[in-house]
Amino acid sequence: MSVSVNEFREAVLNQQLHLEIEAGGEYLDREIEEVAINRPGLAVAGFFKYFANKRVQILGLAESEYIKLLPDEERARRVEGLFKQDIPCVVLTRGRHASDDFKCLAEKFKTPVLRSTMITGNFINQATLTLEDLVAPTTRLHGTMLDVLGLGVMIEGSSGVGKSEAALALIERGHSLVTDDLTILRKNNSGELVGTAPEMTRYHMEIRGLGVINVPSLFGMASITAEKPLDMIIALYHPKPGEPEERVSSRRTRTVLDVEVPLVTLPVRAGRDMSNVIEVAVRNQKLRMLGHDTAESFNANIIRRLKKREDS
Amino acid sequence: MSDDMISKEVEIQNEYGFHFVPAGKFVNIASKYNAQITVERDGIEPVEGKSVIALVTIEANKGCKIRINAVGADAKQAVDELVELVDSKFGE
Repeated sequence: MSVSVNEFREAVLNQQLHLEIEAGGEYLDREIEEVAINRPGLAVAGFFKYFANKRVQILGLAESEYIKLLPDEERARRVEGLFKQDIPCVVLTRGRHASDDFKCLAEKFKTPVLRSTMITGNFINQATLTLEDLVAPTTRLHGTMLDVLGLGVMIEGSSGVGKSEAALALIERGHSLVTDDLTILRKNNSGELVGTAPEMTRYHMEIRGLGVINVPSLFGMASITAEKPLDMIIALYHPKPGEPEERVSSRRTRTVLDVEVPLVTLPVRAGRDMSNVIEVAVRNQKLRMLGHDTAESFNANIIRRLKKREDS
Repeated sequence: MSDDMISKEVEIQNEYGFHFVPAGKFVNIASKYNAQITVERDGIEPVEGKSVIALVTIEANKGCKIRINAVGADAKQAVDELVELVDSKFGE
C-alpha cells in the first residue's frame, strides 16, 4: 500500500501542521512505498546496507549538524549518495532551510524536500500516525453516527425508518452528531473502528420537510463531534406484520472490517419515542461494558428462585 | 418476483453535475419504490440512493458516468424511471 508525497503533505496540512516545499515541488507524485519514517543517520555516514529507501527521510538536528561539519566535497558526495537511493522525499525539521547545493541535488534527483517547524521527535510521531491513517482500511456505511453518553453509536436502517429524526431528538437531548446518513469507518492501527463524516456534508443533516440543516449553527458547537470510535450499532427496522418480534434480545454483533461491533435491533412503530429507547440501549451497553449484564443476572435470579421452589 | 439486481449506467449531463437539486429529485423518485436502490461511481463504494446527503458525496460532475442499482420487486420500474430522470437532465 503506497501513498504519494502529495497525499502525505495534504494530510499533514489538514491537521494544521505546516509542511513547506523547499525543492522538488514538481515531483510530489513520487510514491512512499513503505508507510514509515526513517532517520538516515547511518546512510549520511556512508553506510547504506539495509537502508530503508522506500520511507520518508527525516534530517533532524543530529543529521543536519553532521552534514554541515563535513568538508565541502565530502558533503556533496554523501548527500548525493542519499538521493541516489531513490527515496520518496526528505523532510527537514526544526524549521531548517535547505542549502542551495542541497536544493540543486534534490532537483537533479527529482526528489521533493519539505520543511517542518516541528521538532524532530514530534514530527516523526505525528507523521507516522498520519501515514497510518492514510493507508488504513476504510468502508462507507449507510448510517447516522452520534456520540451518545461518550459512546460512538451508529444508527442504521432503511431510508425513511427515522434515523435522522431520532438523531435530531438525541441532539436536542445534548448528544452530538458525527455524521448523517453516510458514515466513513476507518480501522486504525490499534484495530479500532473510527467513524467520521465525508468532508463535503460534514455536520449537515437532511430532514424531510425541512431540507438540509446545519447542526452546529442551530445547536451550538457542543452538538458536533469530528470523529469517534464506534462502540455499537443500533439497527432500526419496521416490524413486518405477522413476523414474530424478539422480546428477549440476545447478544448480537455485526462484523465490520473484521471487527465485531455490538448490535442492538429496535423495531420502529408510529408513536414510539425512538430517541428515548436508543438512549437507554446505549446506557445498557455502557453497563455491559463494565461487566454487568442485566439480562443474565435477571435470569440467574429467576433460575435461583425456581430452584429454591423445586428443592423445598 | 425477481430479486436479482437491476443495474444501469447513465451519464450526468447537467451543467453543474449531480448537485443538491438533482439529487433531491432523484431521491423523490427513488423513495416511491420499495426496492433497495444504490448509486455508484468508478472507484467509490455504492451509496444509498434514497439519501440526498449520501448521493451528493459521490461528486458526479458533468460527463461523469454513474451506475444505478436496484434490488426488489419493483426494481426494474425504479431503475427505468431514475434513468429517464438523469437522461432528461433532471428537467433543468
